[in-house]
Formats: sequence, C-alpha cells, structure tokens
Amino acid sequence: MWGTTSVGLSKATRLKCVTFRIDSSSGAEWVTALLRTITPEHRDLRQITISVANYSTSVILGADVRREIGDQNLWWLELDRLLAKLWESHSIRPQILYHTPPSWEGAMIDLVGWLLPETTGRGIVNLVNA
Amino acid sequence: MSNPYLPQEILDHTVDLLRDDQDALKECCLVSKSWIPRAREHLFAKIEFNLEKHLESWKKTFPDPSTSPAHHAKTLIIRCAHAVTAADAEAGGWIRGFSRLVRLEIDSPGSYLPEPISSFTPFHGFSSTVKYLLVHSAIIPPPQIYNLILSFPLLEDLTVIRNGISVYDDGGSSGGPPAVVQPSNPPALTGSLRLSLDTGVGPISSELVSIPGGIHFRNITSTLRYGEDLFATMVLVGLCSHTLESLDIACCLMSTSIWYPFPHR
Repeated sequence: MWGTTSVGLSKATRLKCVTFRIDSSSGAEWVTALLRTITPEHRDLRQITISVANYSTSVILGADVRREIGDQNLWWLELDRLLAKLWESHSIRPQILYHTPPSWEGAMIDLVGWLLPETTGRGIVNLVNA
Repeated sequence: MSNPYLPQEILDHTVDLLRDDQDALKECCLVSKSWIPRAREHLFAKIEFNLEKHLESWKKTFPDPSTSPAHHAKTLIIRCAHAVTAADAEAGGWIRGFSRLVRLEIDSPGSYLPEPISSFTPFHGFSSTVKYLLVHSAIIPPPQIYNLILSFPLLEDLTVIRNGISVYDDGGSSGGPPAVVQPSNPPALTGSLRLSLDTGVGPISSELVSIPGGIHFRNITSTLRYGEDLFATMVLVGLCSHTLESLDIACCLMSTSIWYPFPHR
C-alpha cells in the first residue's frame, strides 16, 4: 500500500522540535517508541515537549489517575529513563505541558513527579502550566 | 479633499496604515477617488462566504465577475461549498475571479448534507497563486482533495480536517472516483502539513505519498485516532525526512491499540 517502510524518527535528522500529546488511553508507550529512534545524528534537536493535558480532567475530578494508569506506568518509567538519557546525550531539557487551574496544580505536579520520577527529581524537566 | 501636492505613494501609505480598520477604510473610499483603489485592496483582502445568502449578496452587488473586487482577495473562506460550486456552474467560471488568492479555506464540515458534492473541479487551480489550502469537510473524498492539492502549483501549506459523519464512501463521490489530475507542475509542499481526521489519516496520507515530485514539509502536525495512524504519520515523516524540522503528534485514540511501524519492545 505504501511502498515504503518506517524507521521512526531516525532519518529525520533535521528535526528541531518534537511535541507529543498523550491521552489517558494510549499512555506513554508510543512516545517512548518514537524517542528511542532519536540518534546522535539529531544534532539540531533542541526541544522535546510532552503534553499530559489530557490527564488534567481526571485530576480535577479527583479520579485515581495512578490506578487508571496501572501497568502503563512501566512505559512512563521507561520514558523517564529515556528523557534523562537524552538530556545527557543531547542536552535537551524536556518540557512537560499540562493545563490545570491553580488550585489543582499541586496535584498535577505530584502526578508528573510519579510518572517521571528521575527527570523531575533531577530537575531536568520544565513543568509548564499552559 | 485630496491634496494635489501629495504623491499617490504617500496617500497609499496612509491607507495602508489603516488596513486593519474596516470602518476607516470605508470612510477612506468617501474621501477621494484616488483613495479608493488602495482602500479596496484592503477591504476585499479577506472574503468569507459563510452562508448562501452572503454569496447571493456578493453576486447581487457585483454581478459582473470581470469587474468585481474579487481580484483583490488574498484570503477566501468558503463555508457553503455547495452554493459556491452551483454559482460557479451558473455563471461559467465565476470563482476564477478570485485570481490572486494566497490562502484558500474550504471550511464546510457538511455532515448534514444529503449527498456529497459531485465535483470540486471548479476549485481546481482557479488561482495559481494559492500557497495555503485548508480543507475541513466530511463531504470531500480524499481523491478529490488530492486533485485539489495538485491543481495549485505554488502550494506550500496544507491542512486537512475532517469530523462528523461521512455521507459518502471513501472510494469516491456518488459518481465514482474522480479522474486523477496529471499536473504539469506539481506543488512543492515545503511548508506545514496538518492532518486531523476522524476517519484516520491513512486515506489522505496514501494520497500524499503519490504526489509527483514528493512532499517536503518542514512541519507536520498529526492527530492519531486509529491504531494505524502512527504508521501513516511515520510514512509522511520518512518522506519529509530531509526537510522536517518540527513534528507535533496528538494521540486521541478511538481504537484500543497502536500499530507500531517499527520494533520497539
């Protein structure tokens, strides 16, 4: 049908910025899969943005997001490791976007800290309430 | 009122400074005949046909397409595509009066319509200067969008949005699939591509893949709704790998799992 095969992002070495908007059903697996195809040849890559704005509604409604994420948490931890690695190899400081009213911001930051413990713990990521 | 000692360039520049103030531009037209041409350029720079009555009003005000201010338009937004195609057929190429467009938006979600538009041929290449095309519709099958894209040789940016219940089979309109246009000068497509379709990005992506000369987008924005959309998006990324600078993917899955186009576990 397509007459071509995909190798993720490995050939797109002129990329300067990538943005991935995660919804609660798909989780972090696809983002991890794509970021794994970033190579040392991606010398221009300066910005990785991950939007978790879709989790905001659940946080505001007081849902148990951690339980909803369940086993998918393993992919978040893998993504966390990958982002830390990209920080070390490419000096890319990831940006995590969310959209939460001020009174719920603390809960959202806690959630991001749970999803991405290493990168948030090391202060590698920028958290942005967009 | 017009100062005979002021050169036309100064008067034009004065009018240019008011380009964003529609009321002031209308008043400029009343100052002097010499102010009218420049004021018209700005007044008619962006034309929107939101409803059929807007189109009727335009046709009534400017019955002769050859003398209408359509040639001033840089942006044309059509939200009543059926009425425009009908008007074009009635007036024999009426749409071609908009000959200097840079931006064309066919924004007719149209899921309520009883049947698809049988032909988008009137829109094909009617303005060779179009650089940005937006198609937001559930009534235009991907092959027709493909033909539309091919008909604009300077096209750089493309946005295709589709939501709402489809009224046609993706294979084509009620008259069967349209004949594929063979352009002498296919568009370079070097700007931004944005795809968001509730039927998935696969059908339109497979059309883009076959554009003669290839695609060379610098920015791609894609919304994933089906498992195979990641694959379709990655194919586009692969084709634009030498030019792509920015990638934005949003996942809004309606299916349960993503089909990965490469090993990842």
